[in-house]
Amino acid sequence: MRALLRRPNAIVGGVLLLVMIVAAIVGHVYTPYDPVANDLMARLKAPSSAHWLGTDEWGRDVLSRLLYGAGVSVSISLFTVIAAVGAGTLVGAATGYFGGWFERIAMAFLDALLAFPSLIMALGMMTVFGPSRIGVISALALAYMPSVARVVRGSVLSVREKEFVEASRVMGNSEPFTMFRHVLPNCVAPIIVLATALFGWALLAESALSFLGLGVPPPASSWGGMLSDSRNYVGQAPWLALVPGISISVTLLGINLFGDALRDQFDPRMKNL
Amino acid sequence: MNEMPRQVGDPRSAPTLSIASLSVAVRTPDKSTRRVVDEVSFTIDPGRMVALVGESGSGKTMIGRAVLGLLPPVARVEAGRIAFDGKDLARASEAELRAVRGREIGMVFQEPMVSLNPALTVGFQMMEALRLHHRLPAEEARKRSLEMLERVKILDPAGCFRAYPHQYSGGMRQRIMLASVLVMRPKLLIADEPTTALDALIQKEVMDIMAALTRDIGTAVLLVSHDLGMVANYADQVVMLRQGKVVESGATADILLAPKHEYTRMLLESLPERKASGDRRQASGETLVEIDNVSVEFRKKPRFFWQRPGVFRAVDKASLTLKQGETLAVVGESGSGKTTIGRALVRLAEESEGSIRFEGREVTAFDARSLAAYRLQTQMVFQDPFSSLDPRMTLAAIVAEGLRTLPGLARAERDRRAREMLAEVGLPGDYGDRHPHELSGGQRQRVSIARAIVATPKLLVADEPVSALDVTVQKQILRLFTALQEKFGFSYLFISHDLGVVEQIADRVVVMYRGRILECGTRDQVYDSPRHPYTLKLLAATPRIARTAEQGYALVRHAGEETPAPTGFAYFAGEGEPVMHEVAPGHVVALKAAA
Repeated sequence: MRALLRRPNAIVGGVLLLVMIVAAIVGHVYTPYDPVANDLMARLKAPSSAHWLGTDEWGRDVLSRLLYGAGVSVSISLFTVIAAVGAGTLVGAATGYFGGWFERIAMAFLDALLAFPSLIMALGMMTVFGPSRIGVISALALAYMPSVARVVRGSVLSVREKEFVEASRVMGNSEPFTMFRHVLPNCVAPIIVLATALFGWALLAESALSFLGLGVPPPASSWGGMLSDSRNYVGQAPWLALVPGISISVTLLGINLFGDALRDQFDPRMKNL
Repeated sequence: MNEMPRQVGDPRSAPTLSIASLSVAVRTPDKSTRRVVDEVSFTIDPGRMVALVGESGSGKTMIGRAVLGLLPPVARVEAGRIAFDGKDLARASEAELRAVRGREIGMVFQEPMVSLNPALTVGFQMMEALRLHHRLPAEEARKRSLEMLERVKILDPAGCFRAYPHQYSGGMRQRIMLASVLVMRPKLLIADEPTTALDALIQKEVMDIMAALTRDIGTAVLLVSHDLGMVANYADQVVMLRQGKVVESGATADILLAPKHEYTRMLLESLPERKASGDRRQASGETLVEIDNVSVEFRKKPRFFWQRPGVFRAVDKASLTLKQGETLAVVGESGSGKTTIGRALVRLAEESEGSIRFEGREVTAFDARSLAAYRLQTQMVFQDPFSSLDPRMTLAAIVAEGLRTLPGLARAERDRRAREMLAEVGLPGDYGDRHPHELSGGQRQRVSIARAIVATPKLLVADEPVSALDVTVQKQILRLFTALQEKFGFSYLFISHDLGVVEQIADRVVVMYRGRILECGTRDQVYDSPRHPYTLKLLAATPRIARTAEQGYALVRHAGEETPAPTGFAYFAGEGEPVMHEVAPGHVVALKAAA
């Protein structure tokens, strides 16, 4: 942990993420205004001392919505990534390592999932689940799981052929032990890279779903929802698009930097660089 | 064809290539520069072959690349001249270099599959260069290409012309590569380890063709190699390199057979050599392993999934025995099944028939528990020191894993024993806390050995354990193998294609060919009176440098004669069922059953 904090990437990324997490927690405990309260007298007001980040077309305080939305958006993306990476790694590692009939059937199923545009599939699932946070998470996780499984399987296939894996077998280690001790840890780099990318996709996909009315139900705020609501007013009230847009970008930047540092930290070959 | 006669020792002819005080520097990650080639000078005359010889890190490849102007981005020529055909290639522009490459200077690299484009036919690739550089009409280019393919002894040149590179084996591809380079009639050929990836017999064929053809055409050859035996056999002159500096240079016979410099002498002394069989500790005579009529089959992937997979027999009814404390070497070319037999023994491959007995117990019938116990008795040392160690673990952890399945050992105790074993193989002190990437190839191989022996097994299967190493390091590792055997009494199944190494380390030798055992006997029997023609051919293909009685060296080539098969029989050559015939006590050879 201390070694991790010596990396500039880790520090910058970590600080950005920390700010995000604090904002998400604060947003659920306290916001300057009620994030869903309309104030038709104060529509589309530019940032001022009363409304630090201005107001939207219903006169709702943007800062309050941003803080509240942070919790919604970040938790949705985070759980989506955790679920997709967890399930994908398990499936990918199992198919890659054990092969045979199991692999064929599992991969055929995954390919079928992959052939479906992920947003369409999420849409379909949302109509079944109804718009809710859990619905969004499970729909997106299922949509992204196959690509994680593919990546993990690919790197398991290449690591599996290394002689140290055979050495582990010759030493009498069981297959699951070999898998978890030698194969998976050597696949961490691509998984982390993919997970950080997934986080961004999930954030954007959540906004797309919100835009289609299938995300977090309005009037509750989410960053994606704020971004899509802003599109009619970009000319008159650019802050409506800029505020959630910048928040999303900064969060992604933080995640990516932190992910890079994490990946390097797990690789002893990078220790002295 | 109007060929230039060989201009041996013609004082009027200027050298084709003349390198003067060449220095190449590379940028290191910490932004400083390091000289990898330091003030190197030599010349090559037309039709002559000069060999750059040295261990890895000697800068030999860098010199070849500098001549072509193909240095990696971190390296650049610091000083010196590369005079070729009136130009200084060290200062030539990219356009000038392009005009010279391929047309005036040809190149052959180690991996023929990488240098031939797999998506284009052989003919297209050969003609492309001719038409590009010489602007020949298609008909003429085709004629010349076919002619050249014939001269590198491709059986069906017209067929080869239409074929793709992947349809040929490594040796054939290297010949095609040679043909497509020499068809341009370059003044200089740079051959960087051209036969290192090939089997001994094929290596000889390719080198013979290369030497003869370049001599005919008058092409000067810059041969980059680490193989002293091969260099002694083919090169006219040798430039001996060490850490970027020329140690000594001159005529091959002067340098390699009567070395003056200490470093050359050390290299020559590192070459494997035979020790009298009496020097070795005698094996106890108790049988440890019996492999009886074992076959191993691999499935070939069918073209469509509904088809039945084809079957390829990697090992075909092989039988051998290994005694306690003995070193049995399995030799053969790639595809002979020598590795597979070792893998079957440590249960990394499943046999389709036959029986393997270890201390009298049937290994093939082991359940999970007895298999775990068996695995403490048999260990393996792998070939590639770069992929056989988990890059994420410390050396102590890697070695300690070998003790994991041993019951009743605390973690601290495992760690202590691991470090002890690391010290035993020559990696003492804080080596245990390092990671594999911090080590050299030889050191990694030591770790691999430590991991294999930490649980003191009875049998070690070593699959080409020294093939990836320089001769000096190779010598140290072989010495380590011998020392460990003396100390712990291990039996080795030593798998190798290198007859020199085998001659040094083996008590008994098995010769394999296409999954079959052709000959088996003590080392002296197999090396001194080989009976099977294939064994003889293998031995004759690898000339080696050996020390003579009076402090000098000589190039020795096996000159045995083919012994006729016993009356009524012919030697088995790969078809049908062999009959194993004992020609002398313990010396068995495969015969074809009489018709």
